[in-house]
Amino acid sequence: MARAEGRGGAPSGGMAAMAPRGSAETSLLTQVRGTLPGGRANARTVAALTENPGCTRRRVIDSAGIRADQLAKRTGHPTVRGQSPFAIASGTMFEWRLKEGTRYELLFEALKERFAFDAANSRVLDINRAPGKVGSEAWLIERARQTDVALAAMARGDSGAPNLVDHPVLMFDLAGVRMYLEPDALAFRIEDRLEVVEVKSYPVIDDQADPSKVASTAGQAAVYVLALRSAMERLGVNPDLVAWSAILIAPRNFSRQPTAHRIPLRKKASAISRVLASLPSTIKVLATLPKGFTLGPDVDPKRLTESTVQALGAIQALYVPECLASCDLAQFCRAEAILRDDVGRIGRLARDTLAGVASLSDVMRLAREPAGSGNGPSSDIAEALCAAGGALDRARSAAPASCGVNPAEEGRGRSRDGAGRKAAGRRTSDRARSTRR
Amino acid sequence: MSLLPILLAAEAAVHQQAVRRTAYRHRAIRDEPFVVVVYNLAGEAAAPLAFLYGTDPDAGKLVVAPEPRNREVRFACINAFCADLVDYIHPFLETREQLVGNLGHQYPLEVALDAPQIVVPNRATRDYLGTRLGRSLRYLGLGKTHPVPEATQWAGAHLSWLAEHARMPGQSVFLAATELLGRHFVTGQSSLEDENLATLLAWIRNEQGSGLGAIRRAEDQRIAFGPVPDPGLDQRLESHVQAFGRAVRAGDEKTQAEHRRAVEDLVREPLAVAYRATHEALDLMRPIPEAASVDKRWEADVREWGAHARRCSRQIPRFSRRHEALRAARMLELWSRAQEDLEIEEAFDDPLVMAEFDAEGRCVSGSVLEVDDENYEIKPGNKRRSQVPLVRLLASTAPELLEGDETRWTRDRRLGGAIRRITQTRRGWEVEIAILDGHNRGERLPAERETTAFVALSTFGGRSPDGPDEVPWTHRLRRDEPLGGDDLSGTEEAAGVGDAEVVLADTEDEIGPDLAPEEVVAPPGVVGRPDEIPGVLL
Repeated sequence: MARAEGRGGAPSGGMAAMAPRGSAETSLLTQVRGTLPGGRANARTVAALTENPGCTRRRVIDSAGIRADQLAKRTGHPTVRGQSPFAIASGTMFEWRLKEGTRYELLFEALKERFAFDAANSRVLDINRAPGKVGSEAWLIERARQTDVALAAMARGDSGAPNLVDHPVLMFDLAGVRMYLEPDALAFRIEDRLEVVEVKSYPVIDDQADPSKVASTAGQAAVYVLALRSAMERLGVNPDLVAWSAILIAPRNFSRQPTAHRIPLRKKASAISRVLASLPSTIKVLATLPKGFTLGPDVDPKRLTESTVQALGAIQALYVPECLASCDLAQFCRAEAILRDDVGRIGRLARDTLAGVASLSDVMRLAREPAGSGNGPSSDIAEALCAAGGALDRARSAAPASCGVNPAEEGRGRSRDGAGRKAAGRRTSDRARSTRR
Repeated sequence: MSLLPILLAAEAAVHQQAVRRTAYRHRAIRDEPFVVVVYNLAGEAAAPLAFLYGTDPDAGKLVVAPEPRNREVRFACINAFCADLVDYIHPFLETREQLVGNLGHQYPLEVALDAPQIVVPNRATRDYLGTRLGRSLRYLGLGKTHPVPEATQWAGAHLSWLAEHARMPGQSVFLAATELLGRHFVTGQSSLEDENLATLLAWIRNEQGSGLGAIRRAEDQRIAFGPVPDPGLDQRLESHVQAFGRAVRAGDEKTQAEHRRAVEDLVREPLAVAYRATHEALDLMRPIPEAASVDKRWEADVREWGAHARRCSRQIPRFSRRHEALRAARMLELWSRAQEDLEIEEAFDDPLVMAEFDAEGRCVSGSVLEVDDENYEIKPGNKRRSQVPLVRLLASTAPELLEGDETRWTRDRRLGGAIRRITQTRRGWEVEIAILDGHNRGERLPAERETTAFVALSTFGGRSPDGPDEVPWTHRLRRDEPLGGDDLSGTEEAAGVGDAEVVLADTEDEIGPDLAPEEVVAPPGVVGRPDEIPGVLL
């Protein structure tokens, strides 16, 4: 649940570190990170990446282990994100009651209610007790090792194997870069299946929860399932031992009592793994960048913003408004999209529908051009836009003046087109100026 | 999909000002709607920290719960809001006996004279008030629940009714300002960003070509317009909320009053901004001329409200937790039919809405060359010849409709005709339409040389193949297949509990969040630091 609210339940902050395997890769990623503080990706960023796989910028940032919020701050478009202390308190309290507060009794009770979980013979292994400096990289790797040992024992069905592993650490390969993930818990069930348990603090009212939150949980849990399956393969165990689902533990109705629900994940997990499989390897992506490329240039603080913006400009982004909800750099990308008059700024649907039309000014121009004058790859879109423009003009002339649908400053048709051109011209010169600077 | 909304958004983006999506107003706006703004404590399902509400744009009433996790404090606030909500709503429960039904099948029925209208800033607030707060109050007074005044129980029932009615397409009883404005204006940003009422208003208010500065400033203010909390405000509230909680437990009234004032001072301004903005949205909508079908839809709203009022005349209405299969199927059919009707009514009422169909190539428009009302034909299925006026149009663009397509006149949907012939002449495309119905003996026809259009648009109009007491296959529950892995058989959903008999197996989780004394004294230490995960917001 900690991660539900974007808060770390474990001292490591609930994040997963990325550690590339080869030293050449390490140095390349370190070079890209430059002077920026190291950040870590997690299951949610993996899931988010699969929602917008075309965004190279996001992937370079994730692969290089860059804190996107710090990067955003340097561009002059900081993301003001925060977490309400009340949300943290309620989330922590709920998880604490489930686990430490009741010695896992409440968690078992919730699991028992709907699933055949053997609470009487429960053996809990809290990986957080692993030796090492809390929050350090060494500790993380030690926890990952202990998780592997526990998983192997559980998979073999050893009599003394734990049936609930708390704070496990799973290894996951994202386009050739190793990441460490931390699910809330893994339970081993009687029916010989390994289950991922996710603790969330949003309520399930009358067996229904907020669909967008469940979708987000599902994305995250699907990454855990994939990580667990690859762990099984690594350990030489049949991965089908892992259930294609996750168990969601969340407060029931308006109380603090937990309830358990199963979230089916087969489709989501296959979709994510398909997208991940088609991602080009991160190293290949990095290789296309200029030599010595870095997002964290070591320059005079006065020139930091300028150099950072310039560096980011070298990596292609795919901005859609949905990014605002999930990416810290989205404010920067939006400003860039507006500057470029990019079609994506008004929505993903517009971007998809208007494939091939470069800018919104072009949209306006095409809508006013006589049909059939264009013959590029987007001529069918030009035709459709022209039909829309004609329909709009007819409608506006049919609407009574009292309705005030016509912008007062201008007439229809050509003059509006002229205004559009003027605006486009202004835009272009803006861009020219900004690149000169 | 029509490209028209995209074209309008491009226009708005280039001009840096919202443009109108419709020529008319398609929702009813009453004289004094009840506007509600609410701030919920983060991390809780239904624990309102403050309400600001009222009918007067200049004088909203603020009630706060300085520690909503304390049951007494929380209900003091909820009760105060509910009392005023019920005061506003109850005059509308007045009914009068009227003869209803079609001629020949008339019967007397108690009908409502008018319906209330409640307006909130955004969809999230509407969902919160209806499905969260309304749901949490719905079963109070039954079983071992927290004792509350009767007004709160009434409010629970009304909010539950409103939550369900809000799903009816085209309804005007429970409006969200962002949805209302979004129907009538297009901005140069995405619909996702339009859910922020402050930026949506800024787009509408922005001067053409004046840059996006004012819009960005509105966004940067980060005022919480809805139940979704503002972390910054929460951080400022936290110490006062905790201090108030401690003072309540210590029985220290002086300290309580002090921190209550502090909480009030902190939330008043942000809530007042949202309250004023919601009224501003209504003020923007009012002067737009009302579309022709709005009255009819408002009457439908009042009719539905009347059904609720009749239930209220007996006792506090109770609502089931979830619809049983038959009701769910029937509501789904009702709503999808209303959606279809709404789209068609709006299109015939409003040239700009019709333009979306035009852009899709579903219209044939042009100037009328000739109207032949002397044409007589034997219509299919008839024996005698009857009048079939022929309208010949010079189409303004190459028509995408085909010969034989059934069309309606965009100016008056009663007039229907089929496309008889499409020919290309020197002058352009000529389209002949045979008027088959609704011409009122040749009286209702387009005039010659008039510029007009015909559209191929009609409701499906089919009936559900299932009988009124039959659960359609889409809603039948297969007992052998657990739903999403959960076995529902044996629960009340499967048993089909109706509204009258609500079973409260476990009343403990109906009462709402409350901290146990030991939890309050020793909250677990927060492990890990708050949100440091880049790019995470849930």
